[in-house]
Amino acid sequence: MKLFLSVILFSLLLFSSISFPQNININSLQPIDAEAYMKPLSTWFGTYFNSGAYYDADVPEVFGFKFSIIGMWSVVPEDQKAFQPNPPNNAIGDAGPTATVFGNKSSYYLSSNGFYTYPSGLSLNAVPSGIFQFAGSLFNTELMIRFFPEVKFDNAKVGLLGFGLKHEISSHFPEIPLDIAVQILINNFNFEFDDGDPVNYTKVKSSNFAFNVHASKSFSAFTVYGGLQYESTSMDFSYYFEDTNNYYPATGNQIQDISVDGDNNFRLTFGGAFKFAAFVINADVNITKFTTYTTGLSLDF
Amino acid sequence: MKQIKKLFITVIIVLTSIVINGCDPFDDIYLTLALETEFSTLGAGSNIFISSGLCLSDFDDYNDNNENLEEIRYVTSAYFTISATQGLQGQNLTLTLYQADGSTQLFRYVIPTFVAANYLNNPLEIELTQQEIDNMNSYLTNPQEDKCFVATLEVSNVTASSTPYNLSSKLEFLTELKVKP
Repeated sequence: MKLFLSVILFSLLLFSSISFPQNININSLQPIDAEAYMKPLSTWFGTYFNSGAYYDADVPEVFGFKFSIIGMWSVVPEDQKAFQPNPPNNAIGDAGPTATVFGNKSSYYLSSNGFYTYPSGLSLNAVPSGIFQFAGSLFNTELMIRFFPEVKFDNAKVGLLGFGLKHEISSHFPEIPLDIAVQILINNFNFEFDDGDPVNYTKVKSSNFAFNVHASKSFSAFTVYGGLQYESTSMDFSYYFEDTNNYYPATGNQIQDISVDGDNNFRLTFGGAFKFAAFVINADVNITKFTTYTTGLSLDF
Repeated sequence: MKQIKKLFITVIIVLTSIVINGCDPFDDIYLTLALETEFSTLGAGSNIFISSGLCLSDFDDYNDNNENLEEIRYVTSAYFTISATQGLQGQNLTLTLYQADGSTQLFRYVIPTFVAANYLNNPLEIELTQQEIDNMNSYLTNPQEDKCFVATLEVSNVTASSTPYNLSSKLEFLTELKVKP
């Protein structure tokens, strides 16, 4: 239990403020089921890190600076709440679909030793979260940084480093009536929990990449913007697979390293921003696997 | 321009209000809890009667979530032989579950022929009638109040390849806990 709670607490609570039910334990899942259970979390990481990266395609030619605080609301789709598990060969009868990390109804199967119950999930319809970022620009090119220094508390280490590089290509074509920019985003998140007991060992490394083309048009203080983004995400996850019944002698009772690719591919973003002197507020909707609404408050000068 | 400003600010306020007040990120939370009680006997008589008790509060999952429980629902149950003297068999295996008073019956399951070894690695799935399921669920209402059960196992005309014989077995039933987010 400590294992999964710690993953969730450090990976989600770091960026949001929600509380979770007890009794969520991934240790008993064989690797193939653990991968399916965690896949929506990998997808969510990609959705989260690849959101809120722009609200304007116009990049100043002379020095510019932005500091932004972004809030997000990612809706968990129904197809990310359950998966079909793979019970061991000696299970009696079938197991129905069971909860993923975001789901709420766990399944079970009957074995010779008793009922095995799959872990429940976090029972979330949506994931609220937030992030902050800095950006500096020069020569129509912007470098954005997201940084959370690696910190260690108790037996856990957590860190985040992300950056985005953006260039306003319309600056080379003054006749184009819109501002158009291209941007790449790379965000990495690391978490490790190690209290010396292998049963509680957990490691998460989320790697996220995105490339987008976005455009904006300003009407005085108001800007409308939109973009198309390709993105990919993968999560390396290590956990202790506790096989109390010895159904999986080759893989059980040892730390397993699995790689979980997210379901992120493309997203469409539409939004608007309003500028008051050096302040900007913006809101957009991101149509992707987890439809995500973002709002941001920025200091932009 | 002023209209666009007003529209945008209105949209932001409405969205923020929906997020803060209208949208609950939590879905209902369900946990699956297996309750089990063991039967153990060493004897030489022709009948076996074993009684065993259990309470919801015997299980950590129940205690951990007690304050936020909204509902407990019966799902399914099974009988398992853990160990038995070779050749132990009899007639009319009767598994009965009572409320804490030991007399109000919740379910009674009978199979006419009992061979203990048959259920060593192959549990007996217990199929209840709808009335018995309703009895269970009715007893499990008010889930924050700890509920206790008395389970009995009876077998008649018992024979075994040696005496005294022993039988160690368990009754396990699965419940679903609905927890307030």
